[in-house]
Amino acid sequence: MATILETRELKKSFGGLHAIDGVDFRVEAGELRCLIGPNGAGKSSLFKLIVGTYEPSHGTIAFKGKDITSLRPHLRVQDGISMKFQVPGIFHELPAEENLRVALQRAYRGDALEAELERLLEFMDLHSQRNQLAGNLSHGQQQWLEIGMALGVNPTILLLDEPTAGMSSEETFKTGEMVQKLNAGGMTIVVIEHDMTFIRQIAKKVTVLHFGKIFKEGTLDEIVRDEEVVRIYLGKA
Amino acid sequence: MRRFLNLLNGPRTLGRGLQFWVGFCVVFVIAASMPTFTDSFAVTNLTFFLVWTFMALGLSVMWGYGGILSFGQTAFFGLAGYTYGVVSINLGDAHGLTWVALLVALLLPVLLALVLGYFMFYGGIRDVFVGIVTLSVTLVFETFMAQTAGPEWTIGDARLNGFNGMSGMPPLTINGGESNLIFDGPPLYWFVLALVLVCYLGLRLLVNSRFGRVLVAIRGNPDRVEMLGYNVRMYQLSAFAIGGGMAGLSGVLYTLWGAYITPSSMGLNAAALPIIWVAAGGRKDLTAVLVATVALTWVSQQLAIYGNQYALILMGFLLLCVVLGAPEGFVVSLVMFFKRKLALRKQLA
Repeated sequence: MATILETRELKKSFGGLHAIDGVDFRVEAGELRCLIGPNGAGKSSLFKLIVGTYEPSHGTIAFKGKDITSLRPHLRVQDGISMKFQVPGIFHELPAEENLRVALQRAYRGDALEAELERLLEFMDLHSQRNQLAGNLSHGQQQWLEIGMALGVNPTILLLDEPTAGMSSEETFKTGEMVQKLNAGGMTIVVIEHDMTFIRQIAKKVTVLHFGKIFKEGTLDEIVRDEEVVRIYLGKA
Repeated sequence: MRRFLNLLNGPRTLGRGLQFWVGFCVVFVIAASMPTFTDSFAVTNLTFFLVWTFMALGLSVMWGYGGILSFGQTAFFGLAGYTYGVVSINLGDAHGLTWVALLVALLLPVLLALVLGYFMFYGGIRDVFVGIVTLSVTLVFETFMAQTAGPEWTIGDARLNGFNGMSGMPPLTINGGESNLIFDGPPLYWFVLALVLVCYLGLRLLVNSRFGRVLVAIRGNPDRVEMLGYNVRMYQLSAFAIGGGMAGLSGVLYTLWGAYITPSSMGLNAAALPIIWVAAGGRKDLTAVLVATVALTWVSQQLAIYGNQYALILMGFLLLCVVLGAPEGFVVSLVMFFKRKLALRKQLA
């Protein structure tokens, strides 16, 4: 499989705090990767570096073989990177359908846009809520709406930052099914999560981050059996 | 045609459908026929009320739809007014040159908005700091123009005249063979009314378009919009330039209306008034802003008979009421109230 995303010696410091401390992170096309680690490990910071919200202190980021280290965030999205934020980044004052239209209208027009809109509403199980203000949706629905928006830009790689945070177990399972379906269709997906049940449902390869560095990488079985990983997670499994 | 009607009746503007547009046409026809059954004093006043609507509509696009609170509208207003004065006094009113002056006067505020907006938005200035920067620009401009009283402050034949302001600029003129059409009185009124119609409809199309959708999204969450692949700074700059241009249009029409322009039109009080009109009407809707601006400029003028300070006190009180009681604006809140009543009645029937 071809490498679609690669960081080399990536570092990000905030004063004396090294949030990302020399990360060589590589994702193959079509992969479904889970990124785990204790709080403060640098998982969200790594995502923000990849999408361009943070500028690196050192190192490079390449996407589809092109150096995107200095590229503005909106240009990275146009290249094919899309992200769902940890805190739902939706437009609360707009109806759910309008939220998706904002995401879709750059890549789609006319009948194609309407078709894709219906498909996303169906996929995210928001058809009946299409005219509801996004701010009035349940937390789980807001998470799904944002995933739908992230999909609406027609990405090549989808970064999901804690997509199941605050969800019920039923919603979490449903989200896992959505992620698996997307990956089965060829989408490259990287997921940050704390919920091990969710990770067990979807994970093929897992990367463990700790103190801003890659601590371990491997299959889920290898990771959960690793004593050092269990230790840094303080027994959370 | 269908696409045009869909945009005109889009979700981001109040007032849609046949009933609204019939009512709109009736109001427009009445407004257009006012010079035939009112005196010249009333026509002059009506022109005055309409002149301010452009600045308010531009601020609505910028602030209400785009989330950019700018105190710089009167800077663009004043720049346009002074530019018209300087250019028209120097070029004169022959050979249609007053229209050249008008075009130049509209171009300069847009250029200023583009330059100022570029440094602000591409420099990362956001939220309340946009208001601070634009207010500073307005006050600096006012202070500068107020000290141009000396004879050395002359551009060609046009003397800037400091705090007394510039006067004597020619009205818009269409030069005919034996007679000229001078835009004064009813011709100026109809010209301004036509511009109100064109700008109002044009802005309705704009805010209901794909551009308007993104602008409203930026108001809600600019970081998320950037992460959907949009160049947010370009959209903000565009909205700012539109607002600046509209304020400039008010400025040049005001100068044509009164044949003068003064630095006080850029002062702190003047800078705050558009904010109050737009907030009081309902900044997120063009129609509400249009109605409120005309109504409040009329009320201010009535109160000014008794003393300028009463109008300002009322405007301040109104802003307080809006912030505390009707943050969506009085006109919008009233419309939503009646809509809810109507919906409830239909449900019970």
